[in-house]
Amino acid sequence: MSIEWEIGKEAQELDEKTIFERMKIQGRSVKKIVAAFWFYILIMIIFYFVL
Amino acid sequence: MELILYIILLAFLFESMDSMAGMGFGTALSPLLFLLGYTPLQVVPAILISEAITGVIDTVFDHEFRNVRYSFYPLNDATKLALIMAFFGCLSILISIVLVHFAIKFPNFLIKTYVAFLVIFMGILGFIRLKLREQCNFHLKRLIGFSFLAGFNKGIGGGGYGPVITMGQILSGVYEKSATAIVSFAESIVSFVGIITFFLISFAGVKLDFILLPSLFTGGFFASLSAPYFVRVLPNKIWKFFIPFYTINIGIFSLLKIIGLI
Repeated sequence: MSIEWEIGKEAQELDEKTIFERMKIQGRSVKKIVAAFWFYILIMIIFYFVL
Repeated sequence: MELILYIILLAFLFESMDSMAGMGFGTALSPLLFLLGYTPLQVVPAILISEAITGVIDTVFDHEFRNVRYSFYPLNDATKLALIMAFFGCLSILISIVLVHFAIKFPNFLIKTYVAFLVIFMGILGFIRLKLREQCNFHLKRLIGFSFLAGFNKGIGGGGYGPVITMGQILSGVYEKSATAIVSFAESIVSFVGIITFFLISFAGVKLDFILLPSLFTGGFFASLSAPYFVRVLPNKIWKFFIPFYTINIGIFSLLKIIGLI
């Protein structure tokens, strides 16, 4: 494993931008949020029948 | 299936803190649920299942919102680190769950006391972490040791994993926002192994109770969606101070409950 971390470089770069830049959400992210809600419904249906 | 509103709200609050500061869901929520009168066998398996699922969601959105970037082909540093921590966490959780709930039967009192002291200790470590921020040298062996200890803590009381490996990463030079994100990934994998272990011991006669699961999962789900976004947008200075503070307080309340003062 490298001692020069590549971890967090993008997050650090993003932190250097303004808060309004960081607040922007891409269309792809919105689609993933919608997919996550469907996933939640599916899990709750499984809990309803299993628990 | 029952949804309990105050459990949903508590799960949302603590999962939010967990995502933003790398600790809170297991460490702080477990003793709080014990304080509310739930037993370890009601709390621990439900927390493990909830954390396993919400950890995956959290990981996806931490990547999406660029708090950390994962890559499996080729493996990047963040993914390697998460897998290393998960491996040692899994190994120790297997050993500890079997020891506590099957081979050696500790009384609930002992588990509750251990978790309470652990919570206070983690809170103190949280403040020490703030003092040690400048010392960011890379120590792989130390990180592995933290991972093993963290897994054992998780298996024995359903908490303590986040504080240990979050701090271990930060002391190893990982950027703070990314460290908390990687914890969610590793935590999710370790929780899956914890679930399997609990189901195996349930076949040996240990009775599990999932009354808390739908509520914990619901609160955790909404937090795992919103928290990565807030991590991206907000500075985490507030959380650095607030999390150790509330962790110490919950540990003290838990101890007061155990000795009968509450």
